[in-house]
Amino acid sequence: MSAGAKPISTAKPEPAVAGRWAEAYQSETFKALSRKRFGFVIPALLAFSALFLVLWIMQSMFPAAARYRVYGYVNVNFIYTMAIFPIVWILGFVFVRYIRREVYPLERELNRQFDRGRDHE
Amino acid sequence: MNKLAIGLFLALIAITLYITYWSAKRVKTTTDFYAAGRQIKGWQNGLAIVGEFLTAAAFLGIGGLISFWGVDGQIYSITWFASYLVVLLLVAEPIRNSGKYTFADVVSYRLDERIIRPLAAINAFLISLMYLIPQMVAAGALSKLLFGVPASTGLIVVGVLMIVYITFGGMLAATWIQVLKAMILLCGAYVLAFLVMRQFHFSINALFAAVANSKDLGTAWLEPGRWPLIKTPVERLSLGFTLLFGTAALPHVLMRFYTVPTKQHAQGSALWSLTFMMIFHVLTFIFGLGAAVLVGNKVIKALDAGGNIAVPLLARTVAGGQGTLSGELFMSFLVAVAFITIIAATSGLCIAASSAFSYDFWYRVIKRGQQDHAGQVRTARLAAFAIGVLAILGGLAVQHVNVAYLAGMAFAIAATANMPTLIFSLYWKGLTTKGAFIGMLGGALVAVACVVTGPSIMGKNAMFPLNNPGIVTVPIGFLLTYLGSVLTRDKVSAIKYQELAVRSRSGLGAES
Repeated sequence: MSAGAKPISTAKPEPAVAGRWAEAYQSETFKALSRKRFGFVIPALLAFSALFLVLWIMQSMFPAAARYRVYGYVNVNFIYTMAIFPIVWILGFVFVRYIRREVYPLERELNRQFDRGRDHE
Repeated sequence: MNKLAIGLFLALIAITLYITYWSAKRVKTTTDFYAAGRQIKGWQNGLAIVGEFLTAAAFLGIGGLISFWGVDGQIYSITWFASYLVVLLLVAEPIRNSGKYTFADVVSYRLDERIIRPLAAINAFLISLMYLIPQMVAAGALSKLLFGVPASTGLIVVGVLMIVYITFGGMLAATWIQVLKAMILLCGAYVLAFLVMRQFHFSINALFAAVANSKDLGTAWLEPGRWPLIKTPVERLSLGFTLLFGTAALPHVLMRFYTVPTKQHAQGSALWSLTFMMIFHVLTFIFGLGAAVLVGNKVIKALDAGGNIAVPLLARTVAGGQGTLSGELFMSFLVAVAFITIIAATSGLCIAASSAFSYDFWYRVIKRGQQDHAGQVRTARLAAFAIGVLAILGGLAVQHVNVAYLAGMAFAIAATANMPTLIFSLYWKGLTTKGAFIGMLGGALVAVACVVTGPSIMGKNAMFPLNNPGIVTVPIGFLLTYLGSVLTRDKVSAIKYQELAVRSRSGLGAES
């Protein structure tokens, strides 16, 4: 839609336009799409926060556990810190796959339903 | 070494100038200038985003920090890396779906643009400038340390190159220079890590044993709790929290998501940046501990109390040692790369600051969206030039003052003032113009006040106890925005929420 993209304005939306967005917003497809998206995002953010919170609790309150050597001089603190890299990456990778499999089909469906009167200028 | 390093540096500069020349011929419209024509692929944008974060602070700073204080320095590595997951989960796709060039597009979408856009623009401008000036000062200090030229000269060289890249090549040049730099930096980092680990027969345990048994070091280097700055639990939590959640509100990072053609690419580029960040940051402990063992902290400290020379010295040691051709060559190479890193990073900040002025403030607010493409590009170029000059003068004025706190302040403002409005804009129906105004202005003031009255400026007389105020100020920012919103009404915002929610989550009607 090139330069005809809807300009960002704060002028009161015309009822017809607002109505179309409202219709899309209230559609079952959009509700399902939002449910699916947040169904991943919220637990993922909680798990992510917990991952760092555990590290913080260990480092600041249980230094003996953090210092505990697992192999030679390699201690729990180091293993945990390094494990954050693959865990967070896998979370990101799974998220992208999930969105592409579960959410994009719904987005395409939504586009089919509501894209007809898109505001070309 | 100086001549060799300068020679390699000039060769890299020649490549970047060619990229700028190539870009300048292609920059015709505002989308070319601000968003690289939306032609950047996911992995390229991933590299460019990582480029914004693989600055001298990451490459030289973290290594130095770990060599002086041990594995506590890894806090920067894991949080900078992981902050991209927050970007991926919450903002990458939604902002690509609902904005045009800047994050102000998104936050002023539902709200009264005449009020919110100038405020968002000023925030973005100040954040970028606050980030930019310490980078310029660091560039000066490093050029003295690394090349042996006066600090002012180094600062001016960086400033002039930045102006040339952005004024002529815009976001297109900034992006390709970031991509190039990030690739060279990653290669250099892997060669260095390989050479270091070869000394320890590729055994992490052997490296750790050497640290533990060194008479100057000890097992304390391998355990948390040595670094005084994050000695208290609250300070550690606050630093980690700010770094993890602040990135998602940095204007120069968010702007990069507009350079890709579609939302899939935006999402893909966030995953790519997570990948490249991981590839780099898993190595930082090798650099830090390697330098502490193989070079020695006394040697590093004697040359630079800040530790920034640790990684270049380590490179020389493992590649043959002082006086050998291979040692000097590798060190010079890394020095040249570190310097290119700074210029690329300053360029990204320069374009963020100039777009805040020329697009958000001038074009959208003053001109009310009435300016042709040629005029807009001209304004954008002028703004980039002016900001470059301002950054050079600002850098020269404060180069003998410790301004490292400015970057922390920029992060605090981004997280406290911008983050709540950005998140509420996308995900909460109740946000009102007045609420956003109170949150953005109040949040910025709270963040500045806490840094100014904190230990990084007032030292022992600090009235606010934390070096990094995020854990206190970010919740205040959210609270101000929330309270301001529930106490006021905004019919338009409530209606437009539905539109923004549909757009941002589904990509319906996104810019192409």
